[in-house]
Amino acid sequence: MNEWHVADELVAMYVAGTLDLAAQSSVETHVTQCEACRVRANDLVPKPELDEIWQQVVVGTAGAELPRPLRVAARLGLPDADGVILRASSALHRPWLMSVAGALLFAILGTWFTGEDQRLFYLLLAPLLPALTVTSTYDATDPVRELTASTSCNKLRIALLRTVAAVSVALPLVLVVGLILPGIGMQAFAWLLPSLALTLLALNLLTWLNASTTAGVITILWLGFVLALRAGDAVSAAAGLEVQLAFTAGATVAAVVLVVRLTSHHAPGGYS
Amino acid sequence: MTKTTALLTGVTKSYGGTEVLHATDLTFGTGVIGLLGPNGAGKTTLIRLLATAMPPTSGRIVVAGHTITGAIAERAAARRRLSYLPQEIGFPRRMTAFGFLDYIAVLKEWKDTDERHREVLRVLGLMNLADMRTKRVSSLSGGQRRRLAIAQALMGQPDLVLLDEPTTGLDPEQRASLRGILSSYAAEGSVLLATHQTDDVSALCDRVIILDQGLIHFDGSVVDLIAKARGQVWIGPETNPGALSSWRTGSGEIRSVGGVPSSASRPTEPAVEDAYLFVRHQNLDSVGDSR
Amino acid sequence: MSTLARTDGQLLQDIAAGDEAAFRMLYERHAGWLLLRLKRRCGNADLVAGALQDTFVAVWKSADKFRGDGDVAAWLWGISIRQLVSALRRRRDPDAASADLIAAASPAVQSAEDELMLGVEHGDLGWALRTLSPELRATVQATLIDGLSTREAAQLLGLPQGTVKTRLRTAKQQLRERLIPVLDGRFS
Repeated sequence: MNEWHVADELVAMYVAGTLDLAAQSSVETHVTQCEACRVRANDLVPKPELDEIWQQVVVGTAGAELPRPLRVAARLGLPDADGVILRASSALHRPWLMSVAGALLFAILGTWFTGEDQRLFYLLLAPLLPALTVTSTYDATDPVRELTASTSCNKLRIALLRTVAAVSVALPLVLVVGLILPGIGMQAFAWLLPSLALTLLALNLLTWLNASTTAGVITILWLGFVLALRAGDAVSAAAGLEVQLAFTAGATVAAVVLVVRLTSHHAPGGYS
Repeated sequence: MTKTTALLTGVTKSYGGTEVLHATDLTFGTGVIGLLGPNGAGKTTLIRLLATAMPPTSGRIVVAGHTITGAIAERAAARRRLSYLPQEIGFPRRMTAFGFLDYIAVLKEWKDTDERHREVLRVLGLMNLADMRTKRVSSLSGGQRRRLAIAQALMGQPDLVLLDEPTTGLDPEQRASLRGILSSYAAEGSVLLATHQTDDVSALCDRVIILDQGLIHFDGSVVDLIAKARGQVWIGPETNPGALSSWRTGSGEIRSVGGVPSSASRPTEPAVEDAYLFVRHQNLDSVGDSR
Repeated sequence: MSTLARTDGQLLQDIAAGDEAAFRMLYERHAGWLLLRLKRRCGNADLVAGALQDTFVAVWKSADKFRGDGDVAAWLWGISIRQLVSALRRRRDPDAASADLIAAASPAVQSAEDELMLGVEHGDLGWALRTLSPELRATVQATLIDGLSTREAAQLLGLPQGTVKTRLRTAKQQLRERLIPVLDGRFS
């Protein structure tokens, strides 16, 4: 084994940058192969400098980086803290998965049903999807519901953040699918109001119940409603004016109740 | 001069017609305070009320100078000064240890990313979890999860640290190290620790409140509690007749609390456990008498 | 009594298995010299720190990709210099980027006596390197010494790839010309 080690003066000149290429590369090649000289190199770098870089390494490897969509959002101005909240609540990838699954389901089943049945089917699933995706953003963080209640963050703001994120992911896809399905077309817009009403209802229920229960309740209620429409042979009427007005009224009531709940200090996800 | 970190005045809590916490007046100052009592005594209720996880049925609660039973702005201000470890803590699936603490820190309004990450790393180090930071919570052991749950309560500099059964799943060494950690928080604020185990009290607390069936049976220093049972604990070859409780010691003799000692028994210094039994029995007796 | 310290290769295996203590140990062994060497390539302290940080983050994530044989130090340097190249490429102002570069900004050429006194060991190649012009030296350092491809070297030096290829060819030719007579002389 080569017993030559880099002389101290040489090392000092290397660090200072006063060696020429040949000498510099000689030192570097040697250090790559000699553990003893690497140890000496460590002593030449101020410890605080190395420690600071290590801190950043620790953070970088802690699994705390945000997923790509949130990084994009961060560059567009979303505060980092909000990104952490959205990631924790799976507010992007879960609604995305649910919407894609929902759209696929529509596309497949939509071609099996025609006419009235197609409308029924669409009416059944389309408004549920945004409401369920909003509910699902609470599911991920339900386990820490109790602890969350005791923190000082603005629970309403979190609710709005999650709702906007979930809905902006769920809505466009399902709307597009509706517009494409031949039997639905422009009627796809008719279910926007029911979506709003159901979503507001979900937010209300979330001030009492946990996410899974809320999802169950909403699904059963809506299923019941749509089946009742079918029984009364009134599915086409769902796009009609009276039903739309009824949903507007329902959405308004839900909004008012939500405001009342908020003022009596009950936010979605916990006591506020 | 210790500062008052929390104050309860005439606080009650009822669930569906049953009063689980009767009119309670308490003042908390700096130090580690144990809340001791059997399951169902109302300890968790009291902790949850102080943690602002639910409102009281009646009464007034002040935490760190803010009236949490009042306006929401006051409640938010109080929440910034407290931290809370619930008895049952669930963890969101798929989160890493670091990610979990990062999320809780965001909920506690740590907005600056660098500061927040530094704090997360600090409490991970305090609870000896630094090497676990990238592990999914689902792959941590029960004791590690409990330490993670304690870690979130150590973030920041809370005036009031509320811990509901923190030592579940910790081994004696970990509990000893917890004592050191909690005493640093107790220097400037209160640590309120609910437990049904008397050795937590003797290991960790300066002051102890004994709660049973929604009523306070004792509130004072641990030393004073032990004094209550002085002269009531004996070691001898047999159980004292009429003893409240007795068990075999390591040396093969029987330790009795209360009762009539035989001539072969000798008195011994009581432990917290003895005093606790004695106080509870005393109060149960008096409840019985008053019927 | 104490177990033998793990080799770098063993540390990497442990890191691939998620051992964070091994990761810290690897950092302690190598961060110092890597930082020093990176500083000899770029004068911007933030970029250098960032490159070192990214290097170790990359090591954590891909420790399993290290083939058991081979030199860990050289592997680490390969990652570091490429991280620095990426960082320089991401800089929006190309002039600033090349200004950051020290490349082979060798101030003085060591005199022979200095060399002797300092005990520099690099023999004939070192002497031949000294005869190259600064641009050729920069190319040689980036390619032959740091192990970059001509494309990566081009990014590091802020030059077109064609230029780097030409310079590298010229440098190799000049080195050959200088060295062959010497070597011939040895064996004849």
